[in-house]
Amino acid sequence: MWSLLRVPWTRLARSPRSLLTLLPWACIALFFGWTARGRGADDSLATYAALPLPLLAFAAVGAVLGAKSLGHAVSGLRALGASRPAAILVHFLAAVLLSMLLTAVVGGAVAALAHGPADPPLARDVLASAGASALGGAAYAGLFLLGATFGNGAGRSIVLAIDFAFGGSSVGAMLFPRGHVRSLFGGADVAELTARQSSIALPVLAALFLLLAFLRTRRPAR
Amino acid sequence: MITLEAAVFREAKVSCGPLTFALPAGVTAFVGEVADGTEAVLRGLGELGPRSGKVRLGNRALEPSDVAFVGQDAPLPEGLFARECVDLGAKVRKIAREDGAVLLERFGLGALGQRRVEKLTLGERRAIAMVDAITSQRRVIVLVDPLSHVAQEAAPAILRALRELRKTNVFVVTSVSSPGLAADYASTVVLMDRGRALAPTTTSRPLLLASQGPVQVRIVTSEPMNLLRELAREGLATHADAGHVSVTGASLSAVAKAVQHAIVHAGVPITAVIPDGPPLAHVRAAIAGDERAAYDAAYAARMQASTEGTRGGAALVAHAVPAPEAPSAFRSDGGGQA
Repeated sequence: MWSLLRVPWTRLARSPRSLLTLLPWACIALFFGWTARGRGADDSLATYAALPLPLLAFAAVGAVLGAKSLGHAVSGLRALGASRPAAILVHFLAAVLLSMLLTAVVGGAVAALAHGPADPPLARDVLASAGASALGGAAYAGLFLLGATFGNGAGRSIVLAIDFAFGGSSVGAMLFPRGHVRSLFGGADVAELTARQSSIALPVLAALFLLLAFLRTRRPAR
Repeated sequence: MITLEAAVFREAKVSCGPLTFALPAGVTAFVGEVADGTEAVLRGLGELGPRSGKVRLGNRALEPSDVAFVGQDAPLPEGLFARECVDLGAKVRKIAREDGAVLLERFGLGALGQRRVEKLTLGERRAIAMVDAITSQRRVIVLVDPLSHVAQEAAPAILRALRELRKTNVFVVTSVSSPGLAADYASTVVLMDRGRALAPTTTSRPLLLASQGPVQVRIVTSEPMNLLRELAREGLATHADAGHVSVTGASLSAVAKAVQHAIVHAGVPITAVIPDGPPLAHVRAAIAGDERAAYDAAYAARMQASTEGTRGGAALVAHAVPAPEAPSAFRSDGGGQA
């Protein structure tokens, strides 16, 4: 398992171009934080949650899987004797961890840049923002991994579009990460759920998406 | 033994079976085109499993962990160097084998060791996957068309390795579209025909038909009308004359395959097959039941064809004549393209 785990990270390390797609979204988020500096982090974090965060997670999953589907990435390890579940889990782990890490770092940085006098103490605010971003990053990574089981990986873009279109609506907000992430950053709650409940809903959604992705990939396509 | 029990395989739109027979250890080649179901069987054995029926290895079901499989595409993990892929294969399977670079060198692929997977051609990737699979120490190795679409520098070493595996307890299952290649390395041959398998046979009694281009064959039979009907179904040009049927086909292997189909599936009794044109002594010897003479003549014909650069036209035909003595464990019924 450990030797398999190295594979997606090696791919990332040797393909810096795939990481370049992350940069614009990180820069945009930091720019929003910088323009709001001293005025409080709420608005910048709400903007971050709405646009750069999902796109960072999208790019992270793409960097781990390559341009193709989850099944294609898995079959590479399967060809070398890895069991199918192990090959799937390795990619899940890499994509979710990378997505959580990136979104947390950028979320924390935005909170630090935009920190204002009305905000909670800096360290607490940064940690809370990073934690909320990481939860959102995990849920989005799960969603995009599920998307990557459709078509030749094109499903990833489709679920991103669906999240943008319906993730904020009343019904869609329950099923997609967008509404829950917005709630965590001080926006409108999802249905009757409090922000705390949304913080539970996000990992539950992540687990659900990953389970569905696993079930769709556990057998090779005929 | 790998035992197929009414196993039906399906891939894309091609289905194959139900097949019931046992494959011995050594190298088994399924001979036929993709449309005949060769790839459906191999992917079924290698990764998909049967749609219905059972595939057993000894007394238990064949598990994915028993098998090393290389399909038409070889999706190795991108980002790794070729030699790292081979090393990773050993680590994942927890086996001790040569260092990846040394192994690739032994198979004539040393130059690829330091190249990244995404920079390799399909043939190079397949060659590396073949090397990994052949040296995987798995009980079952399934290789789709192991000598075509692979880096040419690796083909001789892969062929050598397959020949060595003939004598081991490993079950190697391959598919070959060019029938002549099967005789080069297989110990057992299963001729596939539109989703059905003709009886498995060993290559210790091969009938090698060296021929290029269209051929005409006269077939002496007591049931010319039945034979005509069967051959017409195969799309061959035929006409009946006093006591025999003349068949014209694109190649001798195509004609032989059609005649075998008539013998095996329609039970048409064949008294003799007389090829027109250049002498094909091995066919006549086989008809006479002298297998040794058939083999020798076939070998001589093949050598001649090889010298003339027409080796690719050589065709191996299992159980051409007389009617096959199917092993008791063998049965092939139903199936066909969906």
